[in-house]
Formats: sequence, structure tokens, C-alpha cells
Amino acid sequence: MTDVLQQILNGVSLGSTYALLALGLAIVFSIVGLVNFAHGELITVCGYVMLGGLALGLPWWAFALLGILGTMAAALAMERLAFRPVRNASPLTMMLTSLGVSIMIAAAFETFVSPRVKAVPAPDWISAAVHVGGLRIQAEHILTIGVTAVAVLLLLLLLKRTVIGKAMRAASEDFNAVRLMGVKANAIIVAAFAISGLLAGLAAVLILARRGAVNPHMGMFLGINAFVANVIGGLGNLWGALAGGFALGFVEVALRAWLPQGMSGFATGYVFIFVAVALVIRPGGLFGESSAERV
Amino acid sequence: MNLYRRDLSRAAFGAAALFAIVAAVTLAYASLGGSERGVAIVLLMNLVIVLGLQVFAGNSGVLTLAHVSFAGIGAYISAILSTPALIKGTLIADAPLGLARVELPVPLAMLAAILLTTALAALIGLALARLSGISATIVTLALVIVVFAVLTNWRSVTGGAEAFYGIPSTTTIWWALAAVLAALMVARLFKASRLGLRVQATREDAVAAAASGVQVVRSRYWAWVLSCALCALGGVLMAHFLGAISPVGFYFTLLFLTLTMLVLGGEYSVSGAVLGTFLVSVFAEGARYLGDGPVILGWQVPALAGLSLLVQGAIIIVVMIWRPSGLLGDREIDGLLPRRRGAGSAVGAGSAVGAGSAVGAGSAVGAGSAVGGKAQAPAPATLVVTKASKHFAGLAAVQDVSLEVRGGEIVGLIGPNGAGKTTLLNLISGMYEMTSGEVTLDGVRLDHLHPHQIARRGVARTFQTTKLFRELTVDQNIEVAASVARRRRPAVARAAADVLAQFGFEEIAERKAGVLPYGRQREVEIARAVALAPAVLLLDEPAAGLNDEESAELVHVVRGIRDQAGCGVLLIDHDLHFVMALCERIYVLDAGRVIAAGTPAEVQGDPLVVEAYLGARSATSGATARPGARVGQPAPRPSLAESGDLRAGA
Repeated sequence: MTDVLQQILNGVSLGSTYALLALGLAIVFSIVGLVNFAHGELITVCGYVMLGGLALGLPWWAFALLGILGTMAAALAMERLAFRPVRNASPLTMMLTSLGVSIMIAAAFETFVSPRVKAVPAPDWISAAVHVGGLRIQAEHILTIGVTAVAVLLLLLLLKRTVIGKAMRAASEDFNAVRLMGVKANAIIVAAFAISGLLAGLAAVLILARRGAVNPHMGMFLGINAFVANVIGGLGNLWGALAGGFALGFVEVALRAWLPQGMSGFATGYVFIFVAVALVIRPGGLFGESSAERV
Repeated sequence: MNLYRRDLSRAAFGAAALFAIVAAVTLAYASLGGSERGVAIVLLMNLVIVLGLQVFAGNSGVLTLAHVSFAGIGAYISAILSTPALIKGTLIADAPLGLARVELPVPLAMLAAILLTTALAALIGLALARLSGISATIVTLALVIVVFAVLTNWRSVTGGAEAFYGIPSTTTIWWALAAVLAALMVARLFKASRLGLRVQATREDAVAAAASGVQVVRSRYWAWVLSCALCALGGVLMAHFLGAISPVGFYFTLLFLTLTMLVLGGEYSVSGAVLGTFLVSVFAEGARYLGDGPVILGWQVPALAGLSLLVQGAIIIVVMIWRPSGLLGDREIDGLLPRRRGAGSAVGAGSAVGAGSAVGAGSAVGAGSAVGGKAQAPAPATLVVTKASKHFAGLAAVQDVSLEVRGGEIVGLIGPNGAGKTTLLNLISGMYEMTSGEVTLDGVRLDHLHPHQIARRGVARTFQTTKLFRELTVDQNIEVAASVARRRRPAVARAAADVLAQFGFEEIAERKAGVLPYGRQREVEIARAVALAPAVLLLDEPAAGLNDEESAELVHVVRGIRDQAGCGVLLIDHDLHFVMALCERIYVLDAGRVIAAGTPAEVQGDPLVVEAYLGARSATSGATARPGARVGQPAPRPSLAESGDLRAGA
């Protein structure tokens, strides 16, 4: 029983980071229609900014903050340099552009920093734990779940209460109508990328606190997971992205915990098979509307 | 010789020309030495995989990423089947089915590997071909990771993450060239083939493709299977060239490399795949040379590990921003061949046989030209719609509508904006599922069929906003529909030539549909529908946007189609002059219901119709035929027959 509870806790924790990543992807997708393959690389960027902060001798909280800011800056730079020129192109063109960005970022760190893993040690208190019954609750769990909850709440407030938030929601319905109302397109898109960068930065700090190391290709898999979470939830659907992130976290934790010995290497494989099958059954995502067109 | 056959032979010629170039360059480079030979062979094998990717992604416009996985599966199967038992004894001694002892000759192992991989792709394709756009991309990305996980973890069969070594190295540059020749022919001929054209039609407009009778899923499915077979061929060669393979060799590095190659050259183009493969190989070699930290002019360049990848990423971004369809777009090397103007006259000759010599140019399908022996035209059939209803979340867009279009009859469907006219057309052609009611063609139920099935049973349509296969030529647009309606090749060729001649398209047959002037585009769309040899033709606002002269011409065109093909026509339009001049019977729709039906004269006099168009008060105040003539209005509004466009009054 405690084993199950423990795995649920692990699932919520892992799912939280996926949910943060998936939310950022979903916000950009719902507004710009861009499937951002380079979203995962934002995590890599955060990791290397933190590595830089570490080299400068800053304390953890300071370089974590620096990492988050750096991630936001990277998201905005991506938008300005790569995505704005292809903004009105086909979804395929935008997607390929982001793939190019993703490849370049990973390759740049590999080329100009190092292809090897570098340690970004987390402070000791992160792994401190309290035992409640048989349950082991780590500070990292609390931090992850707490940060995610606050971030989602603030995002909700932003989207529901502020002008830019309302404009963003409207833009996800009909971008041109919003422009005709006099809202600047760039403002909305920049805000979307800033938010997606912020969420990715938060997720990255949490992930690095757990892993304690960074390498040039670490973002790619996390980015793909964020995609998968989005696809499970129905692309562009914020609640779906959230739910998809948690679902993915649970499935992954469960597979790792309960797959028989010797099979655990297949865990990633199983997760993706699960997703592929789900998509084939419901092409619009689990929470998305099924496509109405009969072609 | 017809256009299609000529396109095929040009394509074969183009593939041969590409092969000649590829062979000349690689053989010349390979003659420089051992390592150069290796580079040349790797390039050729990559080219086979890139061509495989092009066959599906280029024609369908759906980006799939799993090509490297199928190359990997093929490579592993061939390796496992052909590697000496002695080596397998240490690598995979516990393999099931006695695989550790199997020792097939290499050609046999390669063949088995390609067949097994293709069979697996065929199985996966059943699910995958149903997905479109981004979903397909992500599922294939997932597939890449799944296949990698399986290759890495299924140790008893694949030997795990470490290299599977001792594979007989039999791939020579000649083998690789032979594979490239095969792949070039397959890819280029597929693009020019009828099936290939259908797949491209689904890329250009899936809805219009279905309405032209194309089975979107099935045609993509076969493209997928063919694509995977080529990728397997590339992978198999790779295994027998390298002699040692590992799962990581068929993972993201190869994926990005081959994708960059295709994207740079232009994914719609087979020639582009070749160009891209060469250019990226040159860049990659250069980057590898620099990345290794060479000494140039006495200066030690620092070693840069990821330089090749960095260049690839940059290439993709730059291409996407400046030239999203790649260096060549969809141009092919055979486009350089001189276009013999004889082609146009060949079409003319074909049409003379098919449609009779009375076909003039310009106002081609004038009523007089209905002489031709239209052997393939179906017998006149009657379309009956019975109590059709369509509700959108409570809103009744169409409510209990019944109507009938008999063979050879031109029927109008008019009504104010939002009356449900287009919705009704969408119900008949299967784009929407009916809430209730039924549609029959000569007593055969059509509702619940898919759009492509309805099109194949003889109901063709055009769209309110033109939906053409824009990147295909006029000839190819028509070819797609003509080939769907007929089984036999000569019949397809004749029908396509007939339609081209009917509409006077000889001059524009080889131009892309998307670049034509608007009026011409509308004609092409009608011609495409006619090429289906329909029993009933549905036209959604054919006269919209045409000037008076053009719509007067259109009256003749539609009559000509009816006279020649004997089909019934149901058309929507707001131009009442046009509708009244053309239609023998008219249905008037308002708020989803039929409020009047009859001859043009009957409908014009119907007070309900006047009310629907001009408003309730006008109708009650003026019991005469001049509604709207009432106090407070300076001038009487024109009668229905006089008002050209009723939208003004609605």
C-alpha cells in the first residue's frame, strides 16, 4: 500500500515537470500554430546557464534564478530570430524550423562547451526527506509539486484576469479577429513565448535539481515527452496538456516500478507504444475533439 | 501518345539522367582512394534512404521520421540472418528460433530483410496512414524511440547497445549504385504515376481529393509501404558495408542528416533529394574535417565535436526561412527536356476521336458540340434527397429537405445566405454526416458512404471557394479524377484528353493550376468534376466572381456538359440571371427548409420566395409582382427577375 502511495507521489512529482513543459508548448501552439521541437532545448539552455552561474561561484538559488531568466531570454530569441520569419508559413515549415533550432542548440553546446556530462550540483536540502508512515517525502517532491501548483495558478489568473491574458485566449480562437480589435500581434506572441520560456525554466530547475548534471542532448527527450503529453491531451488544449503531463508521469513511474527485472529498459518503448496506440484510436488526443471532417 | 504516358516516359528518362550524374560523380570520387570510396558508398546508401523518405513525405506532405528505424530494422534482420554462426555464438548465443545458427547467403538475407521490414511497415501503416499532419510526425518520432529501445534492450536477438559485428561486408560501390538506380526509378516513376498523383492530390487538398474519388488513407498507405521498403534497402546495404552496426547508428544522427538532405534539395522533388544529398554530404565532410581539428596553413584549428550537426541545423533554418520548398521546389531534372509543342496537338487529335470534331476552342462546350461518342458516360440517373436534416449542436442548418435531380436536368438551388444550401451539398457529397434523412442515386443509398465512395458512384462536385490541387498541372488535376472513375488505362487517357479539349485547356494543360487566373481556376475545378464522368454534378456558386460575359459563357458550358454527358446538374448560385437562364427547375431554400420549388417562372411569382428574399413587410404590402413598392421608399425595388443579385435584397 505504501509502495503504491510512494509511486503515486513519484508520479505526481514527475508528472508536474512534464505538465509545466507541456503547458508551455501548448500556449505557443494554440496561438502561433507552431509545434516547437526546440522546446526541450530550453531546458538544456537553462542547464548551461546554471553551469555558468556555478562557475562564477554564485549560490544555487541565484544561478537557478539566472537559469530561469536565461531560459526566457532564449525562448524570446528563438521567436525573434527563427520563428518570426516563418510565422505565416505552413505548419510543416514552422515545425522543421524548430527542428533546425533544436539541432543547432544541442550542437552548439556540444561544439563550444563540451559533448560530455557536466555536474550542476543541487543543494543538499533538496534530497532531505521526511518519513510519514512508510512514505518517503523528499524536499524535491514538495518543491516540484508546490512550484507547479503556483505556476499553474498564476497562469490561470493571467489568462483570465489580465488584458494580455484575455487577448491570448482570444488569439487562440481567432488570431485575425484579435488583430482587428487593435491588439498587436507581436505583443501576444512575445508574451506566449515568454510564458513558455518561464515554464520551461521552472521545469528545468526542478529537473536539474533531481539530476544534478547537464549534457547537450538532455533537452531533446524531455521535449519529446512534453510533445507526447500534448498529444495525449489534444494539441493546443491547455487543460489537456496538464492532464497529459500527469498521465505520462504516472505511466512512466508505474512502468519503471513494476516492469519485471530485465524489462525496464523497454519502459520508454512501452510509453510511446501506449501513446501511439492512443493516438491512432483517438487522432484528436484523449481530451481533444475528434476531427469532424470525414475524409 | 497522351500526356500521362509522356509524363511517365519523361520521368523514367529523368531518373536515368539523375542516375548517370550520381554514378559519374561518385565513381570519379571513389577512384581517388580507399577512404574516398567509403565516403562515396555511404553517400549512395544515404541517398537510397532519402529517396525512401521522399516517396512518402514528399508526395503526401506528411512529415514522418521513422525512415531511419526501418533502415535499422532491415539492417539488423539482414545482419542476424547472414552473420557466421561462429560470431553469433558469442554475440547472441541464446537467440530464439535457432537464429544463432542460421547462416543465409547475403543476397538471400538482404531480400528476406527487406521483405520482413516491408511487411512490418505495412502492418504499422494500417494505423499510421489514418493520421495526418502533426500527429503522424509525433507518432513516427515515438516509433523511432520505440525501435531504438527494442534494438538496444532485446539483447538475446540484437546483441544490445554494443556493436553487432562480423556481418559479411559485401556491399561494393556497384551494389550501392544498383540500389540507387532502383530507388531513383521507383521514386521518380511513383511521383508521375496515377497512384503518386493521387497521393499528391491529398497533399494539396485532402477534402477535394476525397471529393474527386481519391481514397486518401489507402493511397497514402501504399506510398508509406513503398517508402519503407526503400529505407529498408538502404539500411540493409549499410549493414553489409559497415560490417558492424549498433542501434545508435539508426537514430537521431542519421535521422537529422537524411532529413536535412531532403529538406535542402526540396522534399517534393526526386531531383531535389539527389541534390540535397550531395550538398549536405559535402558540408558534412567539410565540417567533419574542420571538427577534427586540422592544421590549416600552420594554424591548429581547435577540435569541434558537434560542428557537422551545427551546420545541419543551420541549413534547415536557412532553407525554411528563405526557401521552404527547398532549392528545387518540385522541379525535376526532366523538366529541362524541351517541351514539344506537339503535345498540344496530340491532345487535339485525341479529342477529335473522342468528342467529335464539332468541339471548338474557347467556348468549347457550347450546346452544339454535343456530338461525341461518350461511350463511358453513365446512363442518366436520378438523385433523390429525402427528408434530409443536419443539426449543428442544436442549430438546424438543414431541416427535412427533399429534392430530386433527374438525369439530364439542370436544377437550381437558391436562397438567402445561411439558408443551408452549401450544407445540403455537403450532405449529398458525404462531407457531413446527416442527422436524419437519406440520399439515393437511382435507388442506391449514398448517405453513410464516405465522400470518395460517393464520388465514385457518380456524384461529383465543386466548392464555393475553389479547391484545386494547386501544385499539380491542369492536366494532372483532371487525370486524378479521370483515373478514379475508370479502370482501363486507354479509357482514362481518352477521357482526360476529352475533358482538356472540351474546356479548351490545350494551351494551359501543363501549367500549375494554382497560378491560373481566377476564372480559369473555376473552370478547371468544373473540368475536374466532369472528368469523374458523373451521373450528377453539384456546382457550388460556379458563377461567383465571374463577370457578365463569363457567366453568360458559363451557361453554355454547363449546358454543354449536360448535353454531352447526360448528367443531372444541381447548382447553387446567387446570380439570378444565371440561375433563371440555365435551370429548368429551381428549389428555394430558406432557414434550412424548402419553401418553394418549380420552374423559374413559378418560383419568381411565389410570395413566400419574395418574402424570404426581400423581407416580410415587402411581401405583404405588395401583392403585385413588384414587391417593395411601398410608401416611404423612393424607388420600387426591381422584381426578382430584374435583380441580378438577390443578396442585396436579403
